Amino acid sequence: MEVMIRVENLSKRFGTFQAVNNLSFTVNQGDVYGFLGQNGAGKSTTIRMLLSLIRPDIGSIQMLGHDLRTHRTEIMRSTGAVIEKPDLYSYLSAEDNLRIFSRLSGIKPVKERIMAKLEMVGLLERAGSKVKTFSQGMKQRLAIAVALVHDPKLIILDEPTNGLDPQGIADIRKLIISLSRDHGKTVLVSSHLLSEMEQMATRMIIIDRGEKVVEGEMKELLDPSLSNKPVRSLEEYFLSLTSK
Amino acid sequence: MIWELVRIELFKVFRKPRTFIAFVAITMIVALIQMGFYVDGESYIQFGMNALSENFDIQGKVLNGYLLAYIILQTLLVHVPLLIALVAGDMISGEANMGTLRLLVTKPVSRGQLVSAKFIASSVYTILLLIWMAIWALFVSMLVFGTDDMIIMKSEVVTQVLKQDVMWRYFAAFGFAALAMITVAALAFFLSIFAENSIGPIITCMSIIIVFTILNTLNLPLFNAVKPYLFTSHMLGWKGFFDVKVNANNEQIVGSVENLPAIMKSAGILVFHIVGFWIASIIVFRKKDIMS
Repeated sequence: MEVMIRVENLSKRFGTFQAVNNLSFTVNQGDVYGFLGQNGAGKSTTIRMLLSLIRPDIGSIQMLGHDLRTHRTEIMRSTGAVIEKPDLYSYLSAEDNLRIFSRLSGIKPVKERIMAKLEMVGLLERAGSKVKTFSQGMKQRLAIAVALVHDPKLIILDEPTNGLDPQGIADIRKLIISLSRDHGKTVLVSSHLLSEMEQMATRMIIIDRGEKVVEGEMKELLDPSLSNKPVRSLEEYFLSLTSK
Repeated sequence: MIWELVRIELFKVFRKPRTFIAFVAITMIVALIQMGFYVDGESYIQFGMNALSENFDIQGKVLNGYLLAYIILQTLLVHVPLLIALVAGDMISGEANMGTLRLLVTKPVSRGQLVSAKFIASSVYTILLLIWMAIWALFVSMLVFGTDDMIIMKSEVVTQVLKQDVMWRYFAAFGFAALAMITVAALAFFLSIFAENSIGPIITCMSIIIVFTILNTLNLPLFNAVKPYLFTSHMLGWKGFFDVKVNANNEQIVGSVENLPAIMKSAGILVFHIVGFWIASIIVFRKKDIMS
């Protein structure tokens, strides 16, 4: 199985605060990889390092078979991302936003492709509306369309269900599962919604205070027969590991 | 790829309402000055010409489009930096504030290309603003007030520029003014890399210009040493194109400029600042952690 992300001994310090400490993990092709941790555990810092927004102090990141430091452009050509808040150009329409990010990804902004992405996230009817008129949930869905507009192999979603109503959350969950199952995409997703994560993630990592607590197949980690703890749900498992 | 990025940046710039504030402001200010001179211009000019009339026989139309364009340029170029900083100071900080900077940086373009495209876009905006200003200040003034020889009164000298010798000087002057304004844009742009909203870079840019301008006006040995290196000392170099050389008979040499080396030196110092701010912007942005 092809390794899509290989992180080894990654560390990042902000002043005296150690945000990420000696973190290693692997994401395989086709995984929906859950990235879990309490607030401030280092999830967003790690995701920002994967997307080359911030530089690691120590450690290496291999993505899509290349070193991120030396092949950033090639890697980003095949990577789509939603990073925390779904901030887009509010004074432009949904269609214009997709056109811009399509061009930036090196893809010709073909109308059919753009409309298909908007339809995928349920925003086709609002294609011409300015983003400033959108609700938080609509912005979140548009941000996902932006992440998918260049048909990336690897999709990194940091809290993609923030601000969504229950129906919106269910739609995003279905979309993520479909991206992996039907389109062979690899998805790394961080979320606080453990019940959602339990339903869609195939593998996961839990980090605490910047360090890895556990990593593995979701089914195996939650299987009571393989664990010495009477685990019933991801939430119980997560809390047992992180609420010390 | 860089031109594609510049196109994207220009598309974004001209979709923002704040971009047009400068164009509207310039149109209004120029129209107000033109209206003022249309109503009271003759008496204003006559007042200034009184001293000259005692020694010279002045014929023709002193208040013409060329003179008015000079007056407008002199008045307006002091204030245009604010309008330039309004857009250039927002190029990076505005994206950080909106949260789109992090998305931009994850795209398959280098940070150097991204910064360069944004810088080129702010320079294009600056040039378009100067062209707009030229259309209103020069061409509309020519239409309304007509043309004739241009008489410029300075503190110690009076310069007369022949009618047929004026137009190219304006093209050169506007070109130089564009260079001066791009220097302001480059400074505001550089400052915008450090901020997460555009207010900081705009105010800091204007503060630097004000402080440097004050240093220029103070005739103190301490400041005199640094004055030649301050870009603000060279921003009014465009006026040099209206100083005409004279021959031994004290006759004007058409097509000449009295001190071209000084203008070229000023232009060189401005270009040095532009390139310096541009390179510094690339270096800083490439190393910057995007936390917004």
